[in-house]
Amino acid sequence: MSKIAIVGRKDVYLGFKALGLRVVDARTASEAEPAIQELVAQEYVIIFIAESLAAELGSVIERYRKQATPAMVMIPDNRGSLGIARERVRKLVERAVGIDILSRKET
Amino acid sequence: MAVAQRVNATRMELLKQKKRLAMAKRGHKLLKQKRDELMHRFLQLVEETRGLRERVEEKLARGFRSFLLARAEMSKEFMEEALMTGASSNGALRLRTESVMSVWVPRFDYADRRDIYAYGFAATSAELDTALTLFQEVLPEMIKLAEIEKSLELLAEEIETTRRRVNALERVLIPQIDENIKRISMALDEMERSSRASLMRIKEIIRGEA
Repeated sequence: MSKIAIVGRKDVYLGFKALGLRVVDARTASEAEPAIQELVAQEYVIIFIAESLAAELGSVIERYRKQATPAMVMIPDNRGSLGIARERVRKLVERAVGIDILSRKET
Repeated sequence: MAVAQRVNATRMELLKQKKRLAMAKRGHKLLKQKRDELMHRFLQLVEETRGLRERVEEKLARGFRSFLLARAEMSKEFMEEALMTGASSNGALRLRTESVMSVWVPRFDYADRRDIYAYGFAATSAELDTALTLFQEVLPEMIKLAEIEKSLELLAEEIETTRRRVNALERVLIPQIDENIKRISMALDEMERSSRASLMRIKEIIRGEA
């Protein structure tokens, strides 16, 4: 049985608690970092992170990039998407393909 | 490694280098095929993730809107309590790993749980129900997104290494072996010519003496 957690403002993500996810309250990146490390230690396999925090958590997220788990996924909060998650995928594509094919498609 | 190594100009060495060349060419071809296939899978996933993320973000936005409305209507303690009761039984997430071209990527199997409304209806608002329904709808998609984005990360890594290997073979190792082969055969030819020349010379001398 694998576990899922959400790291972000509790008042926004609280609803997911009813679905059985663990909601960890974090308003700043410095709050989120130890929380994420603890979740990883407790073998949470999916950790959703508020996009607004993720911008400053780049190094933490990067650390687990090469491992199969945990999967760290950025999700928007109530203020909507910041485009950071998209940017991340775009960068991956750029690295893998060698050129930026996504933004070329969109323009 | 890029520095040309000294090789003995012998027939034995020539054979060895030719074998190495054949091997390197085969490896190059295989790695190239691997890279192409990885790329193919990668781009498929990229295509998938684009639509998926849009859907997830749109649904989450709607969910949050309802949720915030619900929160405005209910007291904070009450709401937390209502949601807590639901938290005891989870939808089940199972983790598998699957090999995509020898890259191990996670696969998440999520079994939905129907009865998320584990709270009394009297004291909670309809908005809360709406929000939770939206959240419940979006969660499997979020999990799928986690799976795909993780796979993308792992595949991107593998593609990069594979591409680097292909390039190393193509631009360094194979030209180097080619160079070695050329040098050895030139040296061997040269040796043959010189031995032939000296043989002819010896023959002349012997003939002169006779």
